[in-house]
Amino acid sequence: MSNAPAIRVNNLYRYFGQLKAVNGISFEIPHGSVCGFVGANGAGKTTTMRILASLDYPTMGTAEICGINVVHHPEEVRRLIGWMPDHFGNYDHMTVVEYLDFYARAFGYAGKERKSRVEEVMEFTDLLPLADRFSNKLSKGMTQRLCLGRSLLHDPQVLIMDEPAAGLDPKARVELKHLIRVLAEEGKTIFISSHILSELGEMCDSLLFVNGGRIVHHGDAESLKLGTDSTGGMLFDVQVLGDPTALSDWCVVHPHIEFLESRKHGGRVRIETTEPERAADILARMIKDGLKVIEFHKEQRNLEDAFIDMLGRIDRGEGAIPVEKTPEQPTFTPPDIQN
Amino acid sequence: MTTAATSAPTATSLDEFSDRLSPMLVKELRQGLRAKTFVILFLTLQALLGVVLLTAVGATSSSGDSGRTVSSIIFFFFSLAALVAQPLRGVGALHNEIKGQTIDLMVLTRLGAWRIVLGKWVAIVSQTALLLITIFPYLILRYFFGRMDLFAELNLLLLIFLGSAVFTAITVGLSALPSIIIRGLVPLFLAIYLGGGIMGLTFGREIDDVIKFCSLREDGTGWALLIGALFGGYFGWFSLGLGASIIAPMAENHSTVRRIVVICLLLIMGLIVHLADLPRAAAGAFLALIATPALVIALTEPFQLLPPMTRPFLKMKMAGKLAGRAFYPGWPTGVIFSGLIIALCAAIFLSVPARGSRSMYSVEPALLVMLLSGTCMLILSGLVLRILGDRIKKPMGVYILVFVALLGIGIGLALIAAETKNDEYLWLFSWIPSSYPALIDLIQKEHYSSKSFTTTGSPDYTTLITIGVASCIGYYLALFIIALRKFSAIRDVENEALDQPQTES
Repeated sequence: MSNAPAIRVNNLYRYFGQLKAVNGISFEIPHGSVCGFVGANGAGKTTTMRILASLDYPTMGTAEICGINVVHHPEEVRRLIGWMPDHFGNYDHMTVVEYLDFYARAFGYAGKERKSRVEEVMEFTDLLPLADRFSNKLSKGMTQRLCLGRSLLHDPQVLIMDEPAAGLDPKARVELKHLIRVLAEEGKTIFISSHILSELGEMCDSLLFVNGGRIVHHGDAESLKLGTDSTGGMLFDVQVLGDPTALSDWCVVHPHIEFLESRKHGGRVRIETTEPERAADILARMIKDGLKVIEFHKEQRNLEDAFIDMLGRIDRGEGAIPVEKTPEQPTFTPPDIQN
Repeated sequence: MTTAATSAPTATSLDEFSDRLSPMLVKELRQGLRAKTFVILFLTLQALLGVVLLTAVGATSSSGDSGRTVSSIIFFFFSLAALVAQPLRGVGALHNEIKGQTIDLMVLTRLGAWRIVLGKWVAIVSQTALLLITIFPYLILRYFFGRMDLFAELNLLLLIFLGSAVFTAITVGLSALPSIIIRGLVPLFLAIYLGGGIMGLTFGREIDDVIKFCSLREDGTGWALLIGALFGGYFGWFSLGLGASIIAPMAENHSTVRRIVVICLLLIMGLIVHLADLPRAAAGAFLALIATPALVIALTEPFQLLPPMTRPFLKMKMAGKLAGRAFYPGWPTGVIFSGLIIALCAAIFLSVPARGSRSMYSVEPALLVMLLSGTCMLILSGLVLRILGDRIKKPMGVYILVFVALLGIGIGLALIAAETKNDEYLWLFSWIPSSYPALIDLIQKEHYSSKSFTTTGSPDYTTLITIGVASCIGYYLALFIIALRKFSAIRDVENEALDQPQTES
């Protein structure tokens, strides 16, 4: 268990009748890292997370938390994970402190130990001023903090958070982001899904992009932001003095350089390389060939652009960024378990 | 600021009373006692009892019947609160947790599905107990009116309370079902029926009979109470178990224990039937009451077999695998289990000697036909459900709809037969088990018609019994063949469990 990654998913499939919710995904998340799980609605994020939380079962493939199979040993897995669902109801006639007290009891705490644990969690999530408020009368942000507090009560090693920032106002988002960073600094592994990619980029050590039940990218956010695209190319904003069409004409006759779109004094160019030296060589050749280059700027894309760009390429059948391979594991044979 | 737990959770440092209670009970009591429904019910009951009792005292103090009136008022209001209002509070108990997705949060803690369901049930029953306790001052008042059988009336209150506990268990258990037909309508009809019954009993002459029964001085009261307790306990346990199995994480197996308990209960009932010398009709009814819910669940249970469920069976090698074919969770094994309990019921039923005859094979044929009809309808509903396909999301709801549709066909045929002279065509529908009552009628009509009236003996049901047995076997075999197709998946899961080590590190 000690050498196993915090989360390991191998060839995971989950079918609901004809619907392929998860379609053969594999990834690993090391201990102590924050990993963002990104994808459109219906991409398979929640299903994957529910399987990892032992709340659903895979049709095929394996999912492990700290080396423990979630299907074979769900009880052990539950002690290791904290689960924060995208939507959950609160209880009527129950205050914040009673809510946390109930879950602390349910996790096996008793007496003074329970009281001190509830206080610690309330302090961490800044819920102490709301202790006597009814839990169903809280704002969305407060509710999310309460849910985070609940999932932390038993001090889990791995936190699985499904869309925790959905519906939060900017202030609540900043607070949540801060709490997640603090948890990461304490060494917890956090697997978090969100639609707000810019915030995920700031929070996460790595990002998993999922589309149609498949992983289409697994890597850090910087590789996307710096303009590295799915085939390993780089995007540049090139501006020249004089006729801007000279740039597009020059690109046509040079292999591995693609003129993407015209701009006022030049255009957007894609160079099929990730090496800065090669980019410098190309700039040198442009100048040598008589182009009066006044700007040669590597584009800093935001994550939303990168994601949309990636989905567009997948739709056009141009492939995606290669996914990091995980070692082959024995797979769980799917029983035909539908009714 | 740290989230790290100061120490691992232990249950040893109990420093307050609530630590000794189930977390679920503490939560439910906190919520339940603040709930408007309980507060309103509690205050209304006290206010009504107080006002109506004082009015009744004033109105009837001159007559000698005032004690009985006071008893009737007390029993009426308490029965209404305990047998109707309180159980209905359980209708949303588990459904609200499922709908609010809080059930997922709970099953991820150390709370098992059974503890969650029991907590819900005990909380409502505790509140009913609170209502019961508040009744005692009124009973003291009633005592001064004289002519009170204290033991019998206390006994009646206790029986009402126990009845409430059973009905609450049923509503709490059923509240986990996704089908609104079962979750909502069954308790509602039960409540309406009970409400009407309570009204009739408490304000009619029957209240004296009920009190006399509760005095336990009549013959057969002991057996009646034992059988009542057995069935109350069984239905309560069964319903709560059903609720627990629905909310439980999918790797938990609740079916095996349920199936084993049902078989044990059938055997115990077989023993009681012989010891109490019950008539064959009563034996048939009791066996049907035990077997029917188990059969319905077994035939509609989703097939979600996972490797951890098979491990306890696989420890017993081949015998375990064989037992698994009838006791693993899921409808395919449920078909085998259904065959087993039908066979067991038939054996117990046929072993009861018919009254007025020493031969154990001279069964009252009409009763046998009716039992065959019921059994056949249960199997046929299961068969129709499987023919409709695997995509049905609420199998139990569909099963009950099919069953009700079959009943409707039977009633329709009986109505048509009543209006027509030549009913021979009814035999064309003999493959539909719900047509048997109409066919019994037809056989009796033919037997007692002027042409054959001179013949002695009872009507001959041999043809109908033969058709009934053949239909039962035929439908069961068809269902069995459909179930067999799923057995390869069971083998795959068993192999998976054998390949995977018990614990991983």
